[in-house]
Amino acid sequence: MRCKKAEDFFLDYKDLSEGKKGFLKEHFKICPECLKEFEEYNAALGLLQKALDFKPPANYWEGFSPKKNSAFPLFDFKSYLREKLDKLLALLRTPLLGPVPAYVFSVLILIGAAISFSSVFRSGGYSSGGLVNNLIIYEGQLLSAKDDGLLTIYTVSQK
Amino acid sequence: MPFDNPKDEKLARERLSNSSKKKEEELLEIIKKAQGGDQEAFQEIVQRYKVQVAGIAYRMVGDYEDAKDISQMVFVKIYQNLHRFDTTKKLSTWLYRITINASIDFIRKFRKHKLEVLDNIIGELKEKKNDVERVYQRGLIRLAVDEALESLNPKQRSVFVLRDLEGLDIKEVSQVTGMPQATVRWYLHRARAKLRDELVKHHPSILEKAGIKYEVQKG
Repeated sequence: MRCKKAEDFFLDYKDLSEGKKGFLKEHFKICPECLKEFEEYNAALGLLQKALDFKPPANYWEGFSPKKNSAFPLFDFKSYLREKLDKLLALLRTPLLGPVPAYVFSVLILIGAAISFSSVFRSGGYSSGGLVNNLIIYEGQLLSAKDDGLLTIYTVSQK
Repeated sequence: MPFDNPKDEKLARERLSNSSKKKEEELLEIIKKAQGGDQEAFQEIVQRYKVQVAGIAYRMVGDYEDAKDISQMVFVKIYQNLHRFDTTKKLSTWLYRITINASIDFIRKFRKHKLEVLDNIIGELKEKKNDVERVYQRGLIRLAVDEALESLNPKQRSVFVLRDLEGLDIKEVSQVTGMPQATVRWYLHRARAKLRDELVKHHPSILEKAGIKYEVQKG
């Protein structure tokens, strides 16, 4: 096992399978640096656990009674919008393949779509069966346009 | 608890399972009463869960008074939405989710993580030369822990609090946060790596001064 892998493993020691824990312990036997880092990490975790241990003062719960008519609004449009946006952003951030978030894939898909569309435009495939929607007159002036459903007749003055 | 006779162990397990089943049924009865508008039943729910709710809020925001305010808001929200609660699901999961969301809202509003009381660590300080030294060390530890927690985004902080401080398993964290288990694992890994960087790399002397040692099981 390499040291980088060992680091990944010891950060998640709590959630490792017994097999992986065994590999890690074997690595510690031959790598005192990793063992030291593991001990330091656990000391840091211990500090946080102690610092955030919930030990409220004796009179903490005095006057604690949630009132049904207190400040919490039943429906807050701003919070609702933020919640929806957060959900959408969380969806975009959700990793699909390890550390690669979903938005990277979305951007790649959009780039692909843009390239394929631009090639369609360049090949002129956007015209619809000979019907010219955007008429460009280089010389003269458009006098009238008549459409009988099958044919459009344009009358153009000569210069 | 060790048992000489397997029959005794089986009996003890049955008793334990029966008692937890009885407790669950009792809680369900209370929830149904509260859903029907019974104030006493609702107060019973408050009494049963206020410590857990305030504990999570405290670990998220780092301040006792703020945690108390958040807990009040959480119970008001629960009161207002209790009729929507699906009784086939666990009440604690729902409570934890509301608490985490309320804490994230609070953090977004006020940004800073505050760590007000560190007496449990101060008691373990190795250097106790005088009060000035203690106050100085207290300040250093407070700063280090605050900075470490500040480095986490709300999602990373939520999964770290639930898994590493509250001791919920990955599946429960996933249920509370509404994230897939793989995402929970990923956020957790990132949170642990960031905390390690902040505390071990940026404040190595703090751990030594706080006198916290971790023994690794060898073999």
